[in-house]
Formats: sequence, C-alpha cells, structure tokens
Amino acid sequence: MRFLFIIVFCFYSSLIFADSGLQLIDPWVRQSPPNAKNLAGYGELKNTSALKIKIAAIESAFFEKIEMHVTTFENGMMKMSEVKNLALSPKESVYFEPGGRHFMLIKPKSIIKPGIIVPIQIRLSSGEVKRFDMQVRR
Amino acid sequence: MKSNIILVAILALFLNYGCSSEPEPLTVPQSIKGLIVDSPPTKLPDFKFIDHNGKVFGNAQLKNNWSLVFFGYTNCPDVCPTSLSIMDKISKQPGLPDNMQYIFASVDPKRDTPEKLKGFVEYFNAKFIGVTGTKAEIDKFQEPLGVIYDYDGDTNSDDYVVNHFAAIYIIDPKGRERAYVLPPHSEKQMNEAFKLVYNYYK
Repeated sequence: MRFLFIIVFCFYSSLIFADSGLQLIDPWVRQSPPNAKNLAGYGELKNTSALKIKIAAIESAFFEKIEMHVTTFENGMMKMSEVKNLALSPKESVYFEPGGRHFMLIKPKSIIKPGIIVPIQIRLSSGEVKRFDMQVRR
Repeated sequence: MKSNIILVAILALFLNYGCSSEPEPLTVPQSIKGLIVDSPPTKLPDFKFIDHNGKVFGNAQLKNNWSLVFFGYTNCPDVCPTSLSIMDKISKQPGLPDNMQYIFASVDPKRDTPEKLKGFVEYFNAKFIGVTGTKAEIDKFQEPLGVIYDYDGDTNSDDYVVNHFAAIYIIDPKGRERAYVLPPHSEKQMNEAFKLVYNYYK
C-alpha cells in the first residue's frame, strides 16, 4: 500500500515539477462556413509558472499551418497581422478572443464541425510540447 | 433687391426645416458603445451589386426595408464570422420589424463569386443576402459611408488578406444610412443599438 502511494506520488509530482505551467483555458474553434480556408481559434493562454514562457510554434494535424494573429483597428480598417515571438511573463494571461488575438488555423485538412475535437500542440522555446484540445463551436 | 435676398433666405429656411420631417437628433446613451447616428440620414450612392443568386441588388432592394449591412470578405476568419453570427442572433430577437433584411457585402469580388457568397451567408442564416459588385461600384461607398479596404499580400494568389472597415450599417426603409455601429460587436450592443434607432426613427 505504501509502495503504491509512493509510486502515485512520484507520478504526480513529476507532472507538477516537469510541467512548464502553460495552460490554454477554454480553447475553442469557431466553426466556419463550408470551404473556408482559414478558421480562428480562441482561449486564454495562461502562464501559471514563475518563469517566463516563450511560444516557438503551434501545430495541429488538422491544419496545414497555425499562426497567432491579432486584429487591430488601423487607419479606419480592421487589420490582421501575425504575432511572432509571443512570450508570457510569470502568471501572465494572454487572451485570444473574437475581434482581437486569435489562433489562425490555416487550410483545414478535414471538416471542422461541432462535436469534433481539434488537438493542437504548442511548442515552447524550451523544447517542451504542450497539447490542448480545442472544441468546435458555432 | 434686399427684399429678394430676405425672401430667398426665408425660402431656404423653409426648405431646410419647414418641409423636413427630420426629428431632433437621437441621443445615444453612453451604455451603447460604438453607435453613431446620422442626423440627417446619409444618402446612399446609386449602386448596382449582384446578389448571391445572381440577381441585381441595388437601391431598390433597400427600399421599404430596414437593413443591417456589413462589408467584409468570405475568407475572413475572425471579424466577419463574429459580426455575422451576431447579426444572426439579432435576427432571432423579438420586437423587430417584419421588413428586416441582413446583408453581407463583399469587398473581395475577385474571390467572392455569387456561389461562394451563397454558401457563406446561408451558413449563418438562410435569410441573409450576400452581395458584391465591381470595384467601381464598391468604391462608391467610400465617401458617404467610409467603407475603405485594401488587399494585403499577393492578389494573384489565393491567400491574400483584406483589411476593411467593419461597422454594421443601419439602413432605413428609404434606403438611407440612419446609423452605424463600430466594432467590436456584441449581441447586446447590436440589439440595443438597432432597437433604439428603429423605435426612434420608424
């Protein structure tokens, strides 16, 4: 019994201590009209650790490419531009929400509709890869 | 001579105010963000678009209807789907006039064919109308309505982005711009904005 406890403890503590502390809270993808080339994903990206986290790349088997974009109001127009080298300070949250920052999910490889879970992998500059499941919503 | 000038001045005043049924400008409460009312209303240009069924869509199609109009493009992943899904939610609200129509006007006619527009607008709501026109027709809306846009990237490829003004316009049954609502849009904001404008100017 004690042996089992130690094994369970070691397993959980390894998860706690090895984890970078990056969370993606309430991740979701907006279901898009048929034949859409680009979709947008949202969620709260949160650094729960005491260390700075840098995002190196984001990938998904469901899409050809994923970029982080931000929509801004410039010269009277809504302008979309890529966010590169995103870094989160300790305890910082970066919100991806409609009309602002979004995960630009480029060229879907399959139909993206409600009920489907879109797995994404966020690669950190430390080399660590975090996996999150995004829900598809209308 | 002097009396003639006075007569002209009185006539001008009469034409401006006496015959006009334009009410006092609507006061917008601060709680409704982004709503800008046109008083007097702004006349739309004479324009000729094509709708998602290939039919002509022009000033006549705006007459006798209250319209919500949004200019965008179908490859738009964030702003346009957000605003169109809000327009869909608004369309399901109680207390709207029977003669409401919802229009998505594409500023990307090269890629947004009627077929593509049809699939796009009907995805949000079967009653939505997708329209587009030549660059010259679209550009007629720049000066009176502030519809500006530009293309970012290689327009010979299929991957360019369109930067665009993203207000929702409220067009009255005389086919004039009565108000517009700046983004970011929310269901509550649009619902309150439209009902305020409609109930005041109907």
